[in-house]
Order: sequence, then structure tokens, then C-alpha cells
Amino acid sequence: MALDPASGPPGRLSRARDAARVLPLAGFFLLLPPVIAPFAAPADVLGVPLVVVYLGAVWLGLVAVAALLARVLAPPPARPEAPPPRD
Amino acid sequence: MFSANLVLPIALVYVALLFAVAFVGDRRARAGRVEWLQSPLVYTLSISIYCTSWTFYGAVGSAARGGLEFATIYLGPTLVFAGWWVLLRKLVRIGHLHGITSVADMISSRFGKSAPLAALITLIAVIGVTPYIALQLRAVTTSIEVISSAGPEEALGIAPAAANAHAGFWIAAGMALFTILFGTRNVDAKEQHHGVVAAIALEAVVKLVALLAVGLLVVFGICDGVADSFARAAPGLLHAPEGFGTRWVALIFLSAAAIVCLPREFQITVVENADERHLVTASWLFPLYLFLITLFVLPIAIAGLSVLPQGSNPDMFVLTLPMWAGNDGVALLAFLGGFSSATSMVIVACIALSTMVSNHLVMPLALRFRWVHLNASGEVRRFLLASRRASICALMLLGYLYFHYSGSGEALAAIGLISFAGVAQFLPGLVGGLYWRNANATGALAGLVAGAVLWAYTLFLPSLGAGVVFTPELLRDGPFGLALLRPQALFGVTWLDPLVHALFWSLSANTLLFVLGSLAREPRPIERLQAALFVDVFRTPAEAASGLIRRTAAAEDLRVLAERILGGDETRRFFERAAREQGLEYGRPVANDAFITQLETKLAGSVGAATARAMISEAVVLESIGLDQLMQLADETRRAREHSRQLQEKSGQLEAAAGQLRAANARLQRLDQEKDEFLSQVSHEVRTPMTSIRSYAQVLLETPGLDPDRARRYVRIIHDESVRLTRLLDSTIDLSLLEHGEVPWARAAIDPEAALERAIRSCQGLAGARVRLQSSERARGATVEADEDRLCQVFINLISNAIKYNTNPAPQVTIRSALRGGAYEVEVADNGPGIRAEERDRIFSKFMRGWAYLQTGASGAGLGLAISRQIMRRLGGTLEVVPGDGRGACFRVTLPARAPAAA
Repeated sequence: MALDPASGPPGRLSRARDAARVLPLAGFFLLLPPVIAPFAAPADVLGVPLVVVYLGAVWLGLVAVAALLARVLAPPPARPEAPPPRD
Repeated sequence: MFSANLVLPIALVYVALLFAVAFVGDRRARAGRVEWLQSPLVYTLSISIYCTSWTFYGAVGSAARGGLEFATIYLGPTLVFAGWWVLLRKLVRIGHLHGITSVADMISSRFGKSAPLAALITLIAVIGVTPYIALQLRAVTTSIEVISSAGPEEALGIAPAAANAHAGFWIAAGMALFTILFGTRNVDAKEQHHGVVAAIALEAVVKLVALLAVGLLVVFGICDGVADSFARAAPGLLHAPEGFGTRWVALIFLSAAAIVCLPREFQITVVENADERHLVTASWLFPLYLFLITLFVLPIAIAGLSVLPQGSNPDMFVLTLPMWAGNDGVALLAFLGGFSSATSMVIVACIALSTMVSNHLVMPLALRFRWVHLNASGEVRRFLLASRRASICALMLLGYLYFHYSGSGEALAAIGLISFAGVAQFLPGLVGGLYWRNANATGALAGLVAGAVLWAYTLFLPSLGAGVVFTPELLRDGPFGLALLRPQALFGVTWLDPLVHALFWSLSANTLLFVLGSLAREPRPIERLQAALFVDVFRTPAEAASGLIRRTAAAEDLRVLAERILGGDETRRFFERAAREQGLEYGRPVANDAFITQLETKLAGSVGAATARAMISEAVVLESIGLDQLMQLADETRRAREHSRQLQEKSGQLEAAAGQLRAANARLQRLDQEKDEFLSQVSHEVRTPMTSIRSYAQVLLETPGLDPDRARRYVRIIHDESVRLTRLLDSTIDLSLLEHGEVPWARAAIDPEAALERAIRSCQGLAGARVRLQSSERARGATVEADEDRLCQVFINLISNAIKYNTNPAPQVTIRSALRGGAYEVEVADNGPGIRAEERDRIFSKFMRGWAYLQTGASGAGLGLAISRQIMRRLGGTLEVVPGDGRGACFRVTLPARAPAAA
């Protein structure tokens, strides 16, 4: 599933980290009123209001980029942390 | 439609299913088989307790009233999870390392395990979340009323004025029972509840499937496809740019804050997290879940507004639309979905809040007033479980009472947002504490108090309605008629939306006081320590703390304490493991700093950091914190920077040292080589005379009748060779002494010309008639500081060399002396073969003879020039070869002359 971070080129992991830091800011920016309000124009895409389509695209875009970054940033498996014995 | 007699059994069967899942989940977890229980999928699904009945029913209601605004509540969490790397990862890591049990525990741990802070946060959480629990009870009872349709009113989704109190009570009781059964089985470290999490994951699936089913029914059953469902919308609903203003931004921010600060979200995301990698999956899967669950909200809202009769309750569209369409199956599924979302929220919220109440409110009081007997084994543990169960009942009762006595007027969404704004007050302390080292408990307390008071004053109390706490006059004119202090228009800010208004003032005051309070005093040592551990959690190992807090305690006291909280078995296991780790075969572990810290963390997993610290402090005899190390640890960045600077410096020094070493090594090698050469030269020089001495001596010994003339000649040769040998050895010793400078010289002011004259006179014999010695210009009256004999020795050496090695048919040696630039100079030039350019550097080396030596038969050890140069060095002067003009060699001796006055 997750790529071994060490297998990528050396700068890849560090760039992925920076991207992961910027992602929420980028998402927030795309939702700010000056950016989103123009899409509230009376226009439709296949019968769906443009602003709804825009919002859905931003949302799924965040999901997709987060999923991509997750593949790169996933910590290596097998954390040696056995659950404590229960009584 | 359905009779109440049918709905209740179905709900009960569903509840039974949840009990079964929780039971199986718990059983498997105890047996150590946690495979699917601890999968990223279950983790992500359990996070969806964020989507309560407020989402299930309320999102549609919100969309019907405000269009796209409902989406903000899900966009904030989407951003937070997509940005998991920044905040959630840190929270989860700290949660794991420090055994954090709740959001109150997290904040109070950060600020030096402050008990008052934890209590305050617990109090705010209880006040903020109780209406939320009431909201779930209302949603469930209303949905029961609606689906069993006692009358036309209910079919519109409008709950009767007096909501069915009986149903509400029994629902609350059932939830309390479930929570107590599966939420308080143990006071386990890490506070994980696998059974509950399994049941909640199931409920997450049910509510998603239910909402999607309703959505599909609405879009393709009631409306004619997607385009038609949007075409029915009122024109202003989705095409209004003015919907995107401050409230839009504020709501995104608020929901982002809530997903971090809500006690139940913190419980699931941080406390129940079993593996950091699950968070990585949740970072995109949870936003996807949110996207899917809100996918059909708009079509459902639009359809509800267009097909259902005027006056229908938008908060119940999800249920009333399938009923209106006559689809009983989907209606039932919708009911179960709403029921699921309500119960899962209440259960987790109660677990989280009861943990906080028992750890941060009840336990500190119990310790102070000695409610628990501190000497019976497992006593504290039993007390904790009892207090948690009691807290759950109390919370549920509080929620029920709120539900029972508050009217039915409030829209679901408003209550949810008020609750969000309440818990958002934790945000400055929580986030500030994670990234700002100097943040301290004073700031956190001041900020929280101010934020909570303003939240209550501007939002919570007014929301209860005029006349409940605030009189209508106070709401309209402000307290004592002070218009500036009107609760919903503080300082004359009348143009903001009430929620944005409250959020702005409360969070601003909160943040401001947090910062000012933190700047007002130095952090205490324990705060500094915790700050270093939390802020630099990815760089500072938790064990670093154990070396900083110096504590001594009797192992027996610690064992008694642990037994009270963990119980006998767990304590025995813990102590045995610690003893093994310390390398002890049997018996009790040594109560050293590391062990006490380990035990404190273990206890903190059950009772919270503040209480654990208080308890450990009772057993501890002496405590001190290593301030110096702490300061070092605390300023991690500075330390890292300092470290890298030192490294750089060191590497520079190392490089320089390596260079020096290389040079020294080269010099040593050269010296070694010189020594070898010197030794072999000496042996060689000594061997030649020795060989002739030995062979002539042998001849004398072995030839009895040697004629006396030959014998005398041989003896003469032996004598001459011995003299030569002695001279050679004398020179060697002389040179060695000169080089090591061991013999002090008598230096006096002399006239160098006298020494030069003496040398010329001694060389006259050597020169004889063959070589012409001529003195050209001479410096008269010069005075130098020197040993006259030694200086004379140098001159003799130079002049005799010039005579001996001169192969010119008309040999000639010229001696000049002069005073030049404060120095006395003597030049000895000849017209011999000269010194080759490549020899100039080495001509002063020991045993070095110029090529001129080869041209003549003159003997010489090759030490003269070496000795002369050493002498001149010791006299503070120089001896050098002057690049000759044409044929011949020219040596120049320079000595600093004494000031003319002295001359």
C-alpha cells in the first residue's frame, strides 16, 4: 500500500511534507468569499448550479491530493508497540 | 404509517444488534484479536461521530434555510484532516507518548499538569455539550413521533409542544446503560474502548447508507433526476453570492476548531487511536465520508421545500420525504440512520465527558477531602469506575432535563453551533500550547475564563431565550442600560451575525489574554519541561523527561499507590516488567527517576496527568527539576541551531587541525628522512677512515718483520685518519649542540672586522701562493653583538671553502664587508665552479657537498656550511648564497649592527 518513503528520490519526502502543510491553506483559500462568490453566478453545469459543482470539485480535489500525499507520507509499518495486557 | 408498537421493537432490535457488536468487539479485544477492530477503516468510520443527528436531520434543515451554508460545517473538518500533518499528527503523537485521556488532560498536561485548568476545561465542556446531548434526545424522540404519525402535525415533522417525555427518558436511560456497560469496563491506560468503537463504526455505515438511500429516492423517485431536483430550487437559494461573507468564513473556522476541540472528537481521534498510520488513511477517507454524507443534502432540502406542504419542519425532511413518497423501507432506514447518529454521538460524548469529570473534577476533590480510602487495594480504581458511571448518568440526566424544559422552538443547527463555539474556546490554549514554548498556565486560564464568560454572555445565555436568564430589557438595552454592553451587540457592533459576533469577541479576548498572561511571567520549571516535551514532541524523546525530574520515593509507597488505581494484578505485572527492565532477577524495581516517571505516565493513562502527578507527589519525598538541563531541553531550536553551529565550527577546526597534522607529518617524514640520511652519511664518513685504520693496523699486527720506515708511515696514516675521524665527530657533536642550542654563548659587543681579519690570516696558509686572497671595500667601525670565536669560525669556513674548491687556473677569493641598512654584511666570493641553481637550497644541509667538491680532490665532511648557518642563526644573523654574477660562488653573512652611537 504505502510507498516506502526511503525509496523515492531524496527531495520527494520533504516536498511532500511541505505540500501537506500547504494543502489546508490552499483549500481554505479556494473557499474564501472573493474566490467562491463569482461561482454563485446563475449558471448551471448539466443542470447543477455552478457553485455546487465548484464546491464539489474543491472537496474531491482535497480528498485526492490528501490521498496522494498520504501514500508518500505514511510512516513505515510495524510500530513495535504491543497493546498493554488487559485485566 | 408505522404504529409506535412497530417502531419501538425495531429500534430495540437495532439497539440489541449494537450491544452484540460492542460485546463481540470487546471480547475479541480482550482476547488480543484486534485485527479489524484496529483497522484504518474502523478508525475513520468512528471519527464520523462528528456527523450526529444534527448532520443527519439538521444539515437538510440548514440547507433549506441557508443554501450552501450547511457545507461549512463539513468543510472545516475536511481542511483539518487534509492538513493532518500540521496539527492532528502532533496531537496523536503526544496522545500516545503521554497517555492522554481527554482534551482537558491534553491542555492541562501541557501547562504543567495544572489541575485547575483541567477542571475549568471540563466544566466548559459539560456546559457546552449538554445542550448538544439534549439536541440528540430531541431528534430521536421527534423522529419517533414523526414516523409513528400520531396526527397530522407530526407528519409535517413538527414535534408536539410537549415532546414525548417518556420516550425521551427511556431513550436516555438506554443510552446511559450502553455507555456504562461498554464505556466504563476499566480505567485502562489509554482509555480505549474497542467494543464501543466497533458499534460506532457500524452506526457510521448505517447512517451513511440511510442518507444515501433517502438521497437516491429523492433524486430519482420523487424528482426526475439531478437536473430536475436542482431546477425546483428557489432562485435565491443557490445563486446568491451574498451567502459567502464573514459568516461563511467564520463557520468554516468554527467547524475546523470543533473537530479538534470537541471532547468526543478528541476521544475518538486521539485517545482511541491505536496506530498513527490510521490517521494517514483518515486524512483523505474522512473528508470523503463527509463529502458522501452531504452529497444529497441539497436535493433533499430542495425537494422537501417544493413537494411537502407549507409549514413542514425542514429538520425532518429526511424522514418525512420517504413517508410522503410512501416508501416505508427507506423511511425506516432513515429513522434508523437518525437514531444511529444520535446514539453514537451521545455514547462517545458521555464517555469522553465522564472521563473528564471523574479525572479532573471528582478525583481531585476526592483526594483533597479524603473521600477514598487510600490504603485498600483497588480502592481508587473502584471509586473511579463508580464516579464515571455516576457522571454518565448525571450527564444524561442533565441532557434530558435540558431537553425536557427547553422549548421546542430552537432549530437544531443553532444549538449545534452554540456548542461548537463553546468548545472552540479550547483552541488558543490547545494550539498555542503545541507550538509556543513560552505559553503558560496563567495565560491559558485567563484566556479560557475570558472566552467562556464572553461566550456565555453573548451567545449561550441569550440563546436560552429572553426571560430565562437574561431579561428582555437586558438583551435590548444592555445591563444597567449600558448600550455598549448589550449581549448581542458588544461595543456597539450591531451589524455582525450574532454567532460571528460572539465568536469574534470570545476568541479575540481568549487569545489576547492567553498571550498577555503567558508573557506576564516566566514559565515554571514543570511548565517549561512539558512545553519542551509537547512542542518538540518529534525531536525530544519522552524519556528525556525522566532525567530532568529528580524524585525519590519508597518503592513500597509507590506499589501501594499503583495498586489502589490499577488493581493488584496489573500492578504486579507493571512492577515485574520494570524490575526486569532494570536487570533485576526478582523483587521490586528500584524507585529511580525513570521508574517514577514511567509509573506516573501509566497512572496518567487512567486518572489524567494532573491527578497522577498529585498522587505521585504524595508518595514522593523529594522533588527537584534539573533547571540547567531543562533550559537546554526547553530551547530545542536554539539547541539545534547551536549544535549545528558547533558542528560547523568543529569541522572547521578539525580541517585546520588536519591540515596542521598533514604539514607536521610531512615535516616529520622529511626530518626522519634527513635523520636516516644523516646516519648513513655519518656511518659512511666514519667508515672510510676506520677502514684504512683497521687495515693498516692489521698489516702492522700481522707482518712481524716490517721495515721501520714503512711501519712509521703506516702509523702516520693511522694517526692522520684518527685525527680526521675525531674532527668529523667533533663537527657532528658541534652541529648537534648548535641545533639543540644547549650551550649558552657568551655574547658581547665586538668588532666583526677583527674576527674577519683573524679568519683571513688563518686562511693565508691554506691559500699559499696559488690562490689570491683579496679584500676589497671594508666596513670600518662596525659593532655587532656576537661570540667572536664562532663568528671567526664561520668566516674561516667560507674562505677555506672558497680556496679549497676553486678549480680556476687563476684562483681568486674576494672578501668584502659593508654596513647596509643597519646591518653588517660580509661577502666571500670566488671565481671557482660556483653553485648550481638547483643546489642553492640544499647546500646548507648536512653532508651536502656542492658539485664543485667533485671537481677537486679536497676533503671535507660536508658539515661546514650546515654548522656555519646554525651559528649565524643563533647569532641572529643569516648566511645565504648570493645569486652570483657570472662565474664563481658568493656567500653573504649578515648580522644586525648595533646603533652607531654605540659604535
